[in-house]
Amino acid sequence: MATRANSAKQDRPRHWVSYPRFLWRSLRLATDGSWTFYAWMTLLTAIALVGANAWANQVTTGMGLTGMSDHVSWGLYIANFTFAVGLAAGGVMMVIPAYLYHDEEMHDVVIVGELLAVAALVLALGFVVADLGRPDRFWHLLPGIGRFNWPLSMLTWDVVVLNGYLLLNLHICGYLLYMRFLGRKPNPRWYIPFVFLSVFWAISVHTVTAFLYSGLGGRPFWNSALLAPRFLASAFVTGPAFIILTLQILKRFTTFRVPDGPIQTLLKIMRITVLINLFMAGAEVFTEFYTGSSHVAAAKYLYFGLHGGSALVPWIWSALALNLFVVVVLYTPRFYEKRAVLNAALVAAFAGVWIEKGMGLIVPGFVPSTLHELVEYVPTLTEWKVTAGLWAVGLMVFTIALKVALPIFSGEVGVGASLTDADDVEAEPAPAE
Amino acid sequence: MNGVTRRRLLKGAGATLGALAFAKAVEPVLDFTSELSGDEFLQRHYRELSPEDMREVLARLEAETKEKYGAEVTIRDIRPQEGVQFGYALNLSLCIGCRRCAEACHVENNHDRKTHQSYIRVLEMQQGSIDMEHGDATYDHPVPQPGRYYMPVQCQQCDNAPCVKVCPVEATWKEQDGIVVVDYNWCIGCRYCEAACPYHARRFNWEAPEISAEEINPNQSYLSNRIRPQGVVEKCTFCLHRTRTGALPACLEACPTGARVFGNLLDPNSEIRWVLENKRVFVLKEELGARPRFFYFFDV
Amino acid sequence: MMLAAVVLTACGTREDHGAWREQLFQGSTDAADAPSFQLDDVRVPDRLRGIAAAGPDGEEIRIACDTCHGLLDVELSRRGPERLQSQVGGPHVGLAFEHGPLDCAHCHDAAAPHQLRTADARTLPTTEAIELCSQCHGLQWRDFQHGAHGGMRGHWDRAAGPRERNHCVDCHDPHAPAFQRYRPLPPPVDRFAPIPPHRNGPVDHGAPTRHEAAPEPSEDGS
Repeated sequence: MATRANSAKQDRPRHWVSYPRFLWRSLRLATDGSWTFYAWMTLLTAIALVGANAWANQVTTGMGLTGMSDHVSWGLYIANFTFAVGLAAGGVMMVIPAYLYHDEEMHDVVIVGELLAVAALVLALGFVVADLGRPDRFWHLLPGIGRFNWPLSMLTWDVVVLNGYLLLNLHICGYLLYMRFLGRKPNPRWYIPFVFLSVFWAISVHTVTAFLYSGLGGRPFWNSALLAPRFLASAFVTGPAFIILTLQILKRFTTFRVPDGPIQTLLKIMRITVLINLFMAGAEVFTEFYTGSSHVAAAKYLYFGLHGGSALVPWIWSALALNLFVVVVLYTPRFYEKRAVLNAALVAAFAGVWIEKGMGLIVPGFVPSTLHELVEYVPTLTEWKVTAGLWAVGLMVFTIALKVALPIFSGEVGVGASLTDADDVEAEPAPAE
Repeated sequence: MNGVTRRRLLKGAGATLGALAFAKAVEPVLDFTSELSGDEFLQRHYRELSPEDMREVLARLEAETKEKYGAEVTIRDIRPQEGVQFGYALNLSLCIGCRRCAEACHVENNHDRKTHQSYIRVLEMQQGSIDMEHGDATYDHPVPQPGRYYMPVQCQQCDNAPCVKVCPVEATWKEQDGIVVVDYNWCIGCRYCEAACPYHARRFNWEAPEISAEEINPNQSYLSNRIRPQGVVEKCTFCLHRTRTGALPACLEACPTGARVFGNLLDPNSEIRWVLENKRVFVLKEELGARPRFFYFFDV
Repeated sequence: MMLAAVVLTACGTREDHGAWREQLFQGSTDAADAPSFQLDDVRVPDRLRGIAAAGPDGEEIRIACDTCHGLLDVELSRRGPERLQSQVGGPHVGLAFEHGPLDCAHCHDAAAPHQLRTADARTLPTTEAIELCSQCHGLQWRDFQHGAHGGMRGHWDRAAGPRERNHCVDCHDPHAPAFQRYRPLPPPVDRFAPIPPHRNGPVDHGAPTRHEAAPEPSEDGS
């Protein structure tokens, strides 16, 4: 890859010419592809449209279309928001080995983690907007024109760190890609400080999101110092799991070179984090149940049901089962050496944490309510549609980002590459077999 | 070359189709935006409105009420009085759980008729326990029941209000006289305050309130009982449209036993001060440090 | 970031709304005096001015006590309530009596039963019943004077407008003063109904004895 660096024969690049070209090429890369690519994007578009329609109805008719109530005032949207922030933070688990431990192979694929962060942040912000009763007043949140209750409100901290993390990752990815496009060696001054900043920022993104809940004294289920560490541990399960799956898909459908080293490194990380996550969940369960104070009500409701209400019981036990399955697979060579079993475990890790953080964490914070009333929450079809739609948008962002970035990153597209016919050189995903 | 043009054509067609489908999908939003006036969209925060702006806003709101609900109402902007700090106390020995207060609140504050909304929830509590775990707000039998006592809960107007702290846009704040209010035209509907409140005091307008013209209480104010828009949070304001003019709150007037005591905490001769200084008062969930201004007490 | 969050939120420019608490317990208010209490605020319920009866066309009318007692000479001996049913005639038939160990003459003037008689042998018109009640029910009388018993309508700020207080007999029948049971107004209609907790003990579904709400502010005033 370093061979591209010799194109320094253009002494000073004229950015006002080359940057628009870079953007134009990116746009071309984003919209041109194989039939598999078109089919995939069409599918995502269709799901996104269903979601957009459901959201439009929700804005017009009111949040009454959701299963939320004054007792359970946050539901599927905020659950997904929390999970998406974790996914974004989890992307950093590639950055740390790549830059802190100088893992050269990881360097080649670290861009995948950063792009995942970008897509996951778009997803997280989308879920916040979906949850607003008055999205038309979104501008009230903008510092300067609106009234930004910073530093008192943790939600404003979240707005700051999420957008900051988004910009940070956009800058790092954008800079590295542009340099590759020009065929120049990136100047460490322009990205290394930001990479290190993004490591801390990733931690803080999820910490602040946890503080959003753990700072509420009236909700004993959340009001625990362990919430932020738990969030991070679970984020570092889902991030690597998703990236390993992505790398395998890339290996199969594109010409992008995916070495095995990073996958092994990420699996090593997962082996630790999945245990830490389960350990901390266990520590909380012990504290709640052994103490047996009235604060145990939410945990009781979650794990065993209370007063005959048991809507969350199947969710949490499947989450536990999925997590345990992951542990078994990750620690048994016989299993993890089989690709299919390993991949099943990765999907299980993803799903397990999704449940644990969503239905297993956000909802029981409201059940029983602050007056100890027990109102159950079941998401409505509208909520499922909007959620699916937003995930489709997130995947679209991720797909397009990879579609643009990988050919440039691997040097297949750029001013250094032979650009005889712009339409045919780029790395197209091979059609499915 | 031919393949390239065909591909471009297909891409163009695909993009157009996609855009059309998107426009169709979000079409319902037009119903929402068409009802939203530009003035409403651009309206500034309550605390940034000049008296001139406020006059215009109130006139607009009155006209909108006329248009949407068919009722002539007067919406005022009533400011806090100097030297007044409101406080409330409730005698649990007297309360019989008849829900007259909740009903009065429903009527006074122009709540949604369909959900029979009210800022007050009355819990039927188990004798021998102050744990709300044993409370029940859905009882429907003659009251008072033997072995039970009754605890109405509404906004506690906390001095260190968790709901105010968490609001990301300062749409809710504590006024000079201690009342926590919401600017219904500034709230973005994120419901973080609802999650933060330890007393279940906040309500969200899941849909636009429904109320017939003849049932509307025309004596309204901007910060309290005007009919709330869809998608925003609301709460008890100690009936500030009444109390800031010296009148008693509606829930107190409706109480048949006199379990409710309201007044100015700064007036040493007020009833509320007498109760605070001579009864064994307590606040709910004191350990949370929210410092409520709503007190409970038992008779000897 | 974490540190910054802790520091900044702790130092946030929060106004202090709790200054009023410092004024409490400065010895300014004494349990004995009730500076804001005005007896004039207390409404005088109709039942203190006469007895309800059916008029010639079946409508409810109120007959003033003097209408009968001014003509008839009714002598009250120290009769116990168990003899009421048989011995008290006319419009008082069926009078329920459940007021502890009291006799008629504990409250009514034996020579003129339409008047009240205090423990120190002063006679009072029925409209001044509060003074009679307060002889025994001192704690309630104290709370009542301080606005902590009995209910009111009108203004908390006496400078802004009048106030009307309930009278003892608005809520307590003097002959059977236990507070009556109510049929509660309907429970809230929640979007999704709460699951009620397990209940200890049976529910008493006995009929409520009182259906009407507290007295409306009367136009004739007090």
